[in-house]
Amino acid sequence: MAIKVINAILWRSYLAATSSALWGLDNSQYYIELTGTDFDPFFGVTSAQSTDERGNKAFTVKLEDFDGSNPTDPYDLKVIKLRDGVARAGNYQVLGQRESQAYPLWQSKRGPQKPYQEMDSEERSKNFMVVVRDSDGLFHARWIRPEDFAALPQSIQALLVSKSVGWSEV
Amino acid sequence: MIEPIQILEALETHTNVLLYGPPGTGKSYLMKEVQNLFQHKYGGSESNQYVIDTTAERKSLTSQPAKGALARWVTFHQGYSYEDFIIGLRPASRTDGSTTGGLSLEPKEGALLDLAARTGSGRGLLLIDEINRGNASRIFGEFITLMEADKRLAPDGSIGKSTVTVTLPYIGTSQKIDLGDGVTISQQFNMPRNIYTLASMNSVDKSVAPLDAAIRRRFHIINLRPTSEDLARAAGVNGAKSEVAEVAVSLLISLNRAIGLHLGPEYMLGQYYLPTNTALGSLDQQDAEKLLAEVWRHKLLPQVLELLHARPTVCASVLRIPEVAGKSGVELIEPSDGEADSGASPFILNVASSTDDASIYKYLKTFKFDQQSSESATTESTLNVGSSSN
Repeated sequence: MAIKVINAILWRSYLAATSSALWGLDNSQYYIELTGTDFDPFFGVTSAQSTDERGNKAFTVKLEDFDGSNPTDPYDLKVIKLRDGVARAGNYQVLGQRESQAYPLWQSKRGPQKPYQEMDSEERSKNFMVVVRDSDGLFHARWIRPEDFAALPQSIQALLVSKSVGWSEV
Repeated sequence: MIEPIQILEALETHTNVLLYGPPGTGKSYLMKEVQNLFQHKYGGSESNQYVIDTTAERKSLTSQPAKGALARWVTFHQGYSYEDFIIGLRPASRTDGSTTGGLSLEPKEGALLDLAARTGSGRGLLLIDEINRGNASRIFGEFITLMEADKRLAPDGSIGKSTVTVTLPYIGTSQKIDLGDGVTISQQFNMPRNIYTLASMNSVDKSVAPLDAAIRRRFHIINLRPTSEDLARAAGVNGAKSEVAEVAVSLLISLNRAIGLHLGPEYMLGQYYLPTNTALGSLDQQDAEKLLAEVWRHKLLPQVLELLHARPTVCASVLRIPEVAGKSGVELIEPSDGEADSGASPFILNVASSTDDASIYKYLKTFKFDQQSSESATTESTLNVGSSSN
């Protein structure tokens, strides 16, 4: 067992769009969107980061390998920040999160147990995608199910329900 | 009855404490309670620091126990080793760049070394259940010296005149084990002053592995024996419906007197042989009789038979078989003269499973009478040995 102290957490509640990407329900939905907040400090993004062919800021977040049961290799999370002058400018998109291409611990059934539409409101409100940054600056990701949510420290629970998407130092 | 706070106070005074007693006297329960008290007193059970377990997919995000009060629980057994407790080697992928692929052996901290390194200037509590079930002297290795408080670092963390520095195996002179969060372990190691050890040892199992005298000497020993107060509390004799509870207490007092006389007090039966979820004194008479009969069939009688299996006539006497002929759920089968001449021996036959609850309860009530009549011949202090420490 390796225990790592974490100093920041990013969360995204389970929404229909996220469900569409992870379960492959909508051919146009292949990313998970992060809105309403500047996530650059969380990811450690600097202005020197590269841009994609459309001028969006593009960067890679290296997720550490998961070394428990059914382990996974390190995973490159490809993220863009939409440039000014386009719809939803300033929003972040975590790309390539469709079905089997998604980060393994977020994939359908391993992460969310059901599509969003098949959950009742209570179940929907206790599912989250999370990325944490440890004290060494390394990133780890998990999917929070209702049973995981119940086991979270209360202050982390309060953070996750405070808004649908965000990040915070802890 | 000894309270957890008394054990915590003994730890603070003597550093290492051994709870020694028969099975069922609540040793493990007391250890857990002392751990709770320790963490509450020296830093609370949780800190505001959060951690992720990189090997857990579910429930992986938790609070880190307060650094001021760390605790580790280990259970010794035949397979438990120095490598688990102090330091060992484990395979790791090569990362030095000089070779590609393959494995190398890297030093890996054990439970005590990990606790000592992480505790730093805080306080740490090591809980060792069943200390005599492992080979304690091999498991401790050179750390047996560091169990003595005066061989450790001074309270301010400095090296004192009597501080002993040990050279850890498997770590090179310039090598370190990185535990994360700025905590490392080097080849030269000193034990922090504020590491406490609370261990338990079952007095009946002393033949499994007698505790090394050098280890025993370093522990303050608290003897736990079932007192009438412990038994009464466990049975719930202060409840509104206490007749069966009183029978249960009398039964255990009577059995313990006999066991003590024939085998020694370390074999007595503790209060946890009685039901722990539901006190007998809280039940209706019929339910309580049924429960006590079940406890007799499946816990108490098998234990008495096991303890006295080599002495069937003594066992028959302890169980009052001659006096209650045929009503107890146990029978003494004795050989005829001819069978005895051919080498046959008497034995005890356990038929409790086919004896009804009412008959068993009627039989168990005879112990209440027995205990009352014997009180004039023996004092409370010799009948029930209280908790004591030395």
